[in-house]
Amino acid sequence: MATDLELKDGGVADNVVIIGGNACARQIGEKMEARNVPVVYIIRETAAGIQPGANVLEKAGVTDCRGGVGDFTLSVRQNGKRFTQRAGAVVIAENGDLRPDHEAYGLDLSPRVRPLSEIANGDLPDTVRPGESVAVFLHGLARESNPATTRTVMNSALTLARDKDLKTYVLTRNLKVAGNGLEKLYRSAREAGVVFVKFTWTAPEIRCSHQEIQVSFTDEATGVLFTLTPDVAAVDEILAPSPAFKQIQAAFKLRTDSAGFLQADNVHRFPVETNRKGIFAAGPARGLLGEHAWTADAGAAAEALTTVLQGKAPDSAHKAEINRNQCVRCLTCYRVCTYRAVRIDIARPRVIPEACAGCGVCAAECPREAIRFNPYEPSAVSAGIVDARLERSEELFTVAFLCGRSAVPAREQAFRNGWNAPPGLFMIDVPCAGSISVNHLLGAFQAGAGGVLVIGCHPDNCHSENGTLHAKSRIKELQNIFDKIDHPRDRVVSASLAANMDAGFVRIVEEFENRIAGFGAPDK
Amino acid sequence: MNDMNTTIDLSALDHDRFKSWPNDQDYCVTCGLCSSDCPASGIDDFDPRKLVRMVGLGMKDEIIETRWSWVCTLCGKCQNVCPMGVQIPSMVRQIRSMRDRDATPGILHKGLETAIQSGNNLGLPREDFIFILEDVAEEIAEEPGFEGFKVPIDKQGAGLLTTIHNKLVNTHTEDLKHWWKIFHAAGEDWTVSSINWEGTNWGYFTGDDERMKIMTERIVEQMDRLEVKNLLWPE
Amino acid sequence: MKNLAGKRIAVIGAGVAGLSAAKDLARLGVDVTLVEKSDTLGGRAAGYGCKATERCVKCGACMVVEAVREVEASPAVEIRLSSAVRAVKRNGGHLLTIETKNDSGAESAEERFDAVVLATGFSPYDPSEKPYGYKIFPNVVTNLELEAMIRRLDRVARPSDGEAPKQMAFIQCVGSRDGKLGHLWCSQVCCGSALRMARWVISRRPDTEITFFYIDVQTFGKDFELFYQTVRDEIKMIRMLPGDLYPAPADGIKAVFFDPESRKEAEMVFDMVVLSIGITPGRENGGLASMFGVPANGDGFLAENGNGTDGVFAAGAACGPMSIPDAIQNANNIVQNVVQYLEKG
Repeated sequence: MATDLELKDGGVADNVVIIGGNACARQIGEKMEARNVPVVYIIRETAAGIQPGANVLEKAGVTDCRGGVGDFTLSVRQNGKRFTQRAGAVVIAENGDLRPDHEAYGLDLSPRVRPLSEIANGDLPDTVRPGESVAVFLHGLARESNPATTRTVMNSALTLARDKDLKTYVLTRNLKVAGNGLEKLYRSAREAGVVFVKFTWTAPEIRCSHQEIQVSFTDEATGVLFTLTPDVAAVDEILAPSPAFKQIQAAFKLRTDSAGFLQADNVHRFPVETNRKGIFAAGPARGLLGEHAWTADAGAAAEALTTVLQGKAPDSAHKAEINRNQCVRCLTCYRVCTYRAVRIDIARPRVIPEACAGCGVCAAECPREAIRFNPYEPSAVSAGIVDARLERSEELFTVAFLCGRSAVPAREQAFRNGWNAPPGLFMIDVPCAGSISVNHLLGAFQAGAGGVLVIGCHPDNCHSENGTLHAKSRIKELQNIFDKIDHPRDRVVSASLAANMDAGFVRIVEEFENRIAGFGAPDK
Repeated sequence: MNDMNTTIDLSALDHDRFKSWPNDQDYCVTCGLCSSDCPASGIDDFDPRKLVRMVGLGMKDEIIETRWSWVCTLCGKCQNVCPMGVQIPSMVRQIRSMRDRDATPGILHKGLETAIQSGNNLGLPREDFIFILEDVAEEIAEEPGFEGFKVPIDKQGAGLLTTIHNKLVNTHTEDLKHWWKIFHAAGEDWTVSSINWEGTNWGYFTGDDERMKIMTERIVEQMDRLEVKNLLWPE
Repeated sequence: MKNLAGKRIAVIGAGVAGLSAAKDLARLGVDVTLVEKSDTLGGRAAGYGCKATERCVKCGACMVVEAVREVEASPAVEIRLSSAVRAVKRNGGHLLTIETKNDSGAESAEERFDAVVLATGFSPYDPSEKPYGYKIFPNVVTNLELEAMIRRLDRVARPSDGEAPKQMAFIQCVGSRDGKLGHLWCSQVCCGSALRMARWVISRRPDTEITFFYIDVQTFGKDFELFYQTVRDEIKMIRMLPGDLYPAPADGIKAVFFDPESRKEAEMVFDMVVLSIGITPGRENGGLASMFGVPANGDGFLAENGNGTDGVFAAGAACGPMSIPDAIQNANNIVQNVVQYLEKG
């Protein structure tokens, strides 16, 4: 099928593969189909809810994903069969598990103790009597909740109080009203008769027997001891990665957040990017709950898909290249590449240019120096430092390697603010602090630098995820060498910054210059 | 409350009991600004947020029984800072009104009964009242600069009618002088009524709206009788 | 998408949402004119500091710099600073009169656009009418002023003497969750901003004592539970808003509040107090709503999908309180709607 998209040159596949079949996934599919982009759904379950005529692989899963934007090859398993599926881009909107939190309260699920979503769907025990029965929501007590869950709690409580005439209570800690309309919903619920009890330094005591549940607590605002004997208790559900997430993560080689959702907790991935160009995570796959968030993510994902399929996403100017004659196949590059841009091809690795983000980490890490990363080769950079030394008459010469994502914009702003660089300082802009190898550092010292400063992004803020950590470990390596030869270890310094820290940049450079001045110029 | 350790079945309370009150107590988000700002917070374990909460929960017996609604001075600071506009002083008066009249604290009930019967909380007869005022006026007239000072009682068509707090004709007569000297210095055309001059309104204080109105109407009657347009009502 | 070449979009406002919309549209090959009333790009968020402690805390403020760089470098975006839309005519498109201030006064030009994105942001609440002595006591500042301090100075300095504060207080919900003001909403971002700043201060000066007055702590970020645990270890959390603030010696501030645990009136003296002021509808929302025919909701924020029919859209905090990441997500989503609109036309 031809698409309305103007495909980028060299693009092979013009379609989108969507992993998942929930409301978020469907909205993405509908938006792309409206643009005449072919969509293939790959769904673990059956295709219920997906518009008729859609191209769906049901009861199927992906076991591997190779390639780059415009040319992904997915290995698919369906009903014991294995085959491949091409994809121009992929979006993962797999459902997480909604796990009821009852165990945190020492409760078992029963006709009386129900997951929130069941109560929200109006599924009440037969024993509930309008005008008599008591409903209690145990909300955000065992762990902090979130506005999406709070919205469900307040809507359900309001319905129970108003339409079912139940005595309805919401027991919570911090009520999460940070969502559109939630403060108003909170008021409406109270007007409908819902009683909210908030806990801060105390917590309710919950006892459960076969006959009944008893909740006793001190109302902190009044100091009064209360009990409640709910006929029905709703417990929060926590969105957790489903077991499928591990498998998807392994198949797509995705970085996850600490909980296991399929997007690293890194602002540069917001809203829907993953560590792999052309592979996106949306809605529940990245840990989001709630209709509003899913819709917003569907739009953001459709926008991102459109951009990459047209080849309009920003790309790096420089790509790493593996010298296959020098490579000994240790696979260090394969392991360190955040973007999964290294492919093992006929038993030798090669870089997929479409996937490479040009951070240079692989080149700095390669123990055989088999990866070329022009123009940041240590030899070329060192030659530049030698020239810079010759141009400077200052006794003390210092070198700073600056990450192009953070330190460089911070320095540019510092210049605009009127900052003057110390005359003896030579600054080298690099794509990522992780591209700095020990050779780069030694090159600076060999050229006569009294000190070397490397500024990268804050941990968790690095586009390449671990660039700063790589830089720090390189510096430690060199410091250990310095220790052995009785050279001051702090002549090489690492620091971290964000792009908006121009004042911080100036401070770091000043502190560095003062420290190196204290050491004096190095022995010739 | 006498015993805070009693456990109450929360669902046995009628939370809708005070829904009809026009005080918006349901709007409370327990931010605590009222209690932080209240000059009486902490007195006898009182704080306004607690009272708002108890009204919201429908704890009728408890709010009638505690002294808290009587600890409040109705200054209104709480309502002024409340971000949700809960009308706390009005709510406090509602609570006060629910107590049996003879169980209102101290002399309030007795004083109000006396005022309804006699026109003032002390039951002070008209001639004694006039005697006290004239006696104070004579003392003022002895001071330099106030020669010939007279108290203008029942002056028809005066510019300003002032009420009198009963303690000013009882234990605090000196305080009358401050007011009067100011009137004198300002050249004010003022008067005092010889009947129904009582400035305190314990009907207002005890949440007894009916008697509050009687006491207020009596003052208005004096304005009409004396044909005075302006009222100074220092409580 | 072929038919998008040559389409012209006006994006009004160059804050987080406007920049995101402009760069996304430019990537798709649309010609964008970015109209900004101030003389710089970045909007309010450009005044927010990096609050990273030992690691990034995901406030997103640095992303503004990235967006500014991309927009500045994009040949498809024409940037008009010190400019504002003065009039709108509908004539098979949107004829916008854009006025640009320059050294010799102002110049106006009428230009045709196929669609318009309003990304004009919010107005911060002015806390002068609250009993917190703002603009009376020198060391009472707003959260935005503290953000700007971190951004510009890389440290916190008391306005009265430039010294680092030792006892700081944050007061939340000043002008938010306030029915009396007609602000029946949570501003959504202030708990995150304030607690991140508080932890940043402690990471720089561990001996700083910080007290946090609040109603409900709102969730922000993925590892909130962990963050909140650290917060409770490091910061004195008091679930109560103070009443009046009074002057104390050495330009200090005395806060009087009802201590919820002891149920007694309490006092604390701080040398700096930070008011977390609310997000309120942009002062120009009313004018924009009538000029562009975009509905504003009862609170005064613009409808997220603009007028939905003839190519006027709204994005970001013009539509309601939202964090930087949320504004980016929202702008992405709105761009999607703009593209759908253009494809139909």
